Amino acid sequence: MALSALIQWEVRPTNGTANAGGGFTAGASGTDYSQQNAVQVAYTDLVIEATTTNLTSSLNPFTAAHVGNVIAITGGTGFTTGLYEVVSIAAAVATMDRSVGTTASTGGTGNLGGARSGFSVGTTTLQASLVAGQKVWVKNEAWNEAVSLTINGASGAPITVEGYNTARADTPTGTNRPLLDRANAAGIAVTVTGSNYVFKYLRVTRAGTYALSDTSSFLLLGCRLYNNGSGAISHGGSGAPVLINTELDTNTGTAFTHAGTLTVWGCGVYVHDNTGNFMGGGGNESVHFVSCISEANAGHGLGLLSGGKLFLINVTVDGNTGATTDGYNGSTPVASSVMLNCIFSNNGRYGANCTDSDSVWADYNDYFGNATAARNNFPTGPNDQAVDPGFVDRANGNFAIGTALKALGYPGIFPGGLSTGYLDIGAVQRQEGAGSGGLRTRPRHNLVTDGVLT
Amino acid sequence: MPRLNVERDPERLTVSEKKQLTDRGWRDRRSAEWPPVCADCRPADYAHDLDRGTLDYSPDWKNYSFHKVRIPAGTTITGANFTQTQPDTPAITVLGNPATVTFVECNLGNVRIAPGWTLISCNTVQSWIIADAVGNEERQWIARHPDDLPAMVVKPAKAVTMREF
Repeated sequence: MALSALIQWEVRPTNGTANAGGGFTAGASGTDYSQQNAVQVAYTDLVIEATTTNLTSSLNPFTAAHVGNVIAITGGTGFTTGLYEVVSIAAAVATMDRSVGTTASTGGTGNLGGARSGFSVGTTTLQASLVAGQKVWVKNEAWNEAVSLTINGASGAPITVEGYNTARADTPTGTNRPLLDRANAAGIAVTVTGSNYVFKYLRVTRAGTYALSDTSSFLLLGCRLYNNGSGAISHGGSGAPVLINTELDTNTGTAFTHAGTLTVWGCGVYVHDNTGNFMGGGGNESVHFVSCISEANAGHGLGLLSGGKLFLINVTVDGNTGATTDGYNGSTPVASSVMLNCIFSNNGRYGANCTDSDSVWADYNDYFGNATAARNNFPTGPNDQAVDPGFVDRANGNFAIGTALKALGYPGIFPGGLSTGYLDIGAVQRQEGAGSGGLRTRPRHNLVTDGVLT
Repeated sequence: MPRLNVERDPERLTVSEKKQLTDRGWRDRRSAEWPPVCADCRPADYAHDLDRGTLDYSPDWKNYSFHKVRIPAGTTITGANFTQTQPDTPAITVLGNPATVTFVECNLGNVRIAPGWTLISCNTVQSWIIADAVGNEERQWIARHPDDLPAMVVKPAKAVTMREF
């Protein structure tokens, strides 16, 4: 056997223990001792019985409450160090998920329960012990370590790392999210060479180079990667990274650098004040962004060097600075590329600038105040606008539009003529004032706080 | 806060500004024009995209990458980016005495840090980009802080060029 995919790990970077058990199998019959700072039982006299998956302890006999907890075996002659799950208990004999060592070994040491203090710490690290489908909860405590995730998740069973503030699944925002602060140390903060990881509600700052390095598909939800020494994300492979409600800001260099052929999906992404482009690198990328903002970067608002597919819907690209900085800068997007309902405003050179963009269907976009021109080698849509978006407070990051672009977005009248939409142009839709009567309407969805994405 | 507001109405430009546009293709930036660098409007001492000239700090703008910046003494700045090309660049001048300023969660990459400044959770990484013989580029971390820079930094043997961004 092996560790259960149902184990949920607990990481408390400040108050946890390096060699704590740290995990509990969801649905197990025992008591979850992982969600506490201190270890529940510290063993010094573990014995491996005739069956090498069986453990006993005279000083701390196993009980039914221990079922489902993880023991970190840290030493003892004949013991194999590692993290083991208590699968069952019978007459004070614990059956573990796999062999613990050599028959009749005595004096084994280890800890059951308690939160772990990190991914990379301990005799056996958590990051080396993960199994596809498992979940790691990280509590909002002072945190500084270089994390290296090498274990593969699976497409139907990703490995999820989720931050919380005071209680699991409290979907924190702002400074209530755990902060991995590398304090300017060399290297990458989180290196992922395994596949299928999901990161939720985390912040990463002050990595010497990148906050996150990955080589395959991953998902970031509700995260912020900022103030890192080379950029927010470095992607060296293929796959389809997804960014939802995630902020990449104030990083040195390009926010999202990539070298491979990949497709990036984004919704509610906010990229700003980086030293370089939003995206860039040497690979062939396709991007699918909906309701995203890229502003005030010292490079292209969206720089795509290759001829991948472009799919931009309701994206706002504003105020990217530089004498040769464009809102969107690309080469030759492939056929079936689409750009709709986007705002390209106040950028240093062109709003949209391509080598050849005959393959792009672009319409219902607004171009305003771009220094050289709205477009260069980029198609003009019959419903394009050239008006001031009237952002509510762009200096403080509020890109809600004024009235000029209200309800001018696509689609208006749907095929068949039975439905009519009133979508605004730009990433941030207008919030209309409350009326004096009539039906009370539901406010617009927030994917995170509404619990649609948890 | 004014919206981004580079003046592009030819009728509202001065004679001098029109001449600058004619002579060199861009005119001097007026104060409070954002973004600070455009194809047709830049700080008067702009040299190139990695040396973008001098700005006075304003809470209306947070990205001062490659700019020299003048900041009034006593200012507290949160979440701004002051990244420079070369390590230990004296990019920030504090106007007033005592020349104190507080940076909170700012990117001070490659910026020379002066005594009297208060830094809270700031990026002070010193780095440069190197390229190997086949053109692969990589940002190389040199030190956590300019005070930690070695007396003489030697480029790796394969570093045939040094280019920033």
